[in-house]
Amino acid sequence: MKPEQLTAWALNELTAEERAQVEAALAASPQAQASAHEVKAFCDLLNEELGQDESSLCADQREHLRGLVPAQPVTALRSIGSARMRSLRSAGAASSDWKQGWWVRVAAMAACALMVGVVIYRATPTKEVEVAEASEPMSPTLDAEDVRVSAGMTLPKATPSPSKTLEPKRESPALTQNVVPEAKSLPVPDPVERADGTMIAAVPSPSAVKTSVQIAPGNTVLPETGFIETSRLPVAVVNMTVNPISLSEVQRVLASSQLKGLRVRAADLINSFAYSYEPPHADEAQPIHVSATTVTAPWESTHQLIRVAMQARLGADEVVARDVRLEVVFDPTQVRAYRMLGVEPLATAGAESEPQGVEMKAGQSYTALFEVVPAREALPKDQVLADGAASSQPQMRALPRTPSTAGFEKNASNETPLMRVRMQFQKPDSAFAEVVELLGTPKVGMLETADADFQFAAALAGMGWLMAAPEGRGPLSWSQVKQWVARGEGGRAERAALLKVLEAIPSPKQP
Amino acid sequence: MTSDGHQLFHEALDRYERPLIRYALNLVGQLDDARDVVQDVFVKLSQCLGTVDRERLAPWLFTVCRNRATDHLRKHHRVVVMENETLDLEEADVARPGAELEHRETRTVIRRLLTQLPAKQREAIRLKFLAGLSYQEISDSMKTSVGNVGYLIHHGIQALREQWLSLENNPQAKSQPALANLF
Repeated sequence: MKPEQLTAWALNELTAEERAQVEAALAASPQAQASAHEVKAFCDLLNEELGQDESSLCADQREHLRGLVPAQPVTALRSIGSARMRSLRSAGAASSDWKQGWWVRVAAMAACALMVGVVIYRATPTKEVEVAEASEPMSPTLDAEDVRVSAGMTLPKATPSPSKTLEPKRESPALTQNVVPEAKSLPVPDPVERADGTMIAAVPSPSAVKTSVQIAPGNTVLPETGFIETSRLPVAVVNMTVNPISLSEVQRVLASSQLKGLRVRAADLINSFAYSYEPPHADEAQPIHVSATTVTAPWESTHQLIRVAMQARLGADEVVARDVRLEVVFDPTQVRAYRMLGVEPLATAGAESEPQGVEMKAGQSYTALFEVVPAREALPKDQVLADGAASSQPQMRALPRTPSTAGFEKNASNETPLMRVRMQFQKPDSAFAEVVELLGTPKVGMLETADADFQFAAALAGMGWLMAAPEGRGPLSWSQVKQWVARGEGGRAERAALLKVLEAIPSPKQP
Repeated sequence: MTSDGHQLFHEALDRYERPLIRYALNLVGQLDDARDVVQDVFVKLSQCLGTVDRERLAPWLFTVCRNRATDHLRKHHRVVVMENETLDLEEADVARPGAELEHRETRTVIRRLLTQLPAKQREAIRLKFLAGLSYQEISDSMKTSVGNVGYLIHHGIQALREQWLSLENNPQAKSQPALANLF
């Protein structure tokens, strides 16, 4: 009898036949029997000491994981909401806003004097990254390299990630990166301990694209993401990191195909300009006000265009919030699919490519645009991310729920919100993260009647469309884009400069 | 999502959550980190339900967990992990019933001894006692034969037992600080 067999016997790893043989041998040798029992006693000790630790996931982590694979996603979401309706009724400011139908307010006019200035940035060239199908098949011979978790995937965690400064309003060759100290010095509350809990869901990355469209050799404008079905991945996590783009670069892209390796990301372009969204109310404790507005998508009348706007409060030139994160949860009963406009593959694969929280300074703003397909409409053909591509996208630590977190029940006006918008931030002098949440109503207006900032941002998104697909899309045209830019110019020098660029190029060079 | 996939995912979560936490905790040393790692494992599983080989689910989960834990340690530039053991010893200073104190001390010592094993033996022992995998499942996870798994575990247990017995004869050695290179 081999010694290994004795250990296997102690661990009950033998077949019935092998076990019978070993036990017969043990019965014939008291010495072997004693040795076997010593081994078994030690194995029992190891089992007891190593295998009995009952540490587990946080309750909210587990809840969220269960939500990743719902039996019936829509029903599941609704049931969550129903269970939390009471807390919604007693919610704070965000919920109150909802009751008042607040979110169709025209975002404008707060004092944003500090944000004036022509935005001339040098975009950090980004590498073109092919979207890899990260959903590895389960092969009989498991390859450790092949079953790595998708790069960039993150989920709720007690430690803060490094923050990047969102600074689209000054000249700078690149974003300032500010590494936040380890959790011991700047801890985020452990979700387990928080009363409001954490909700995690599969998150589509804004980096998801199906293909990249070559305008000219080496001169690429990256297209929009494919649509993601809300029933599969209802939560969109916004990568708020901005690589500012200069007007001169825009001009060169429009006018020339000579440059090599230049990339234009509409989301970067949009956030390279200053906006004047509604700042936090005087009675709002948080340093950033977030709002959402929905209009009919100007390039596709059956779709809707949603703007999520964030505006930091005014004050001295100081950081008002760290580790600012934004996510949008769409209601599958209202939204069939969605995509964030003007995003591209993350520059690099790997953990460093994870969307990270950013810093916001006084007066700064941030704009995220989503195109959504209402539930009543069909999915656009050939524009939906395949299951594999969508599910393989990096995922992100979802934001904790506020006590007001609820589902998508109808409000007092008998309206069901399209979405929930959650913003997490950390005040500079605070050791704790805070979460603000609002619900977006399904009210839809027309872009032409929306505020100038929305029209201007839509124009930039439209520029992205047209640069990626010069043949145009639906009613969208360069003249339309110029019209929106003109409407949204609002006396701002940098917008006027962009308009001049567009007017100087009556027919942007087709690649 | 098919109901089969839904059932598989939820059964896997129920069955392997704690074993994965134990395994990940031994790798990364901090419970919060272990939770994050395991969470990532299940997120990954949710993405692979269409291709999952149910018969090899456990090895797959622990392979993903190991890779994810390795990535985590690399990302945080941590190769030497001792927090968990240190924490256990520190917590042991708190007044506790004698039996519990002894239990914690025993567990701490065994974990420390485990880290001193050769890498393959250590991994096989982890997968056996922390994760609760069978020899066959360990074989799949470590990509080695079942026979070799038996060899590794046998010799790993032998080494642990010898060290344990020597410590029994020299109790003061039990309280030595735990410093171990996990990789």
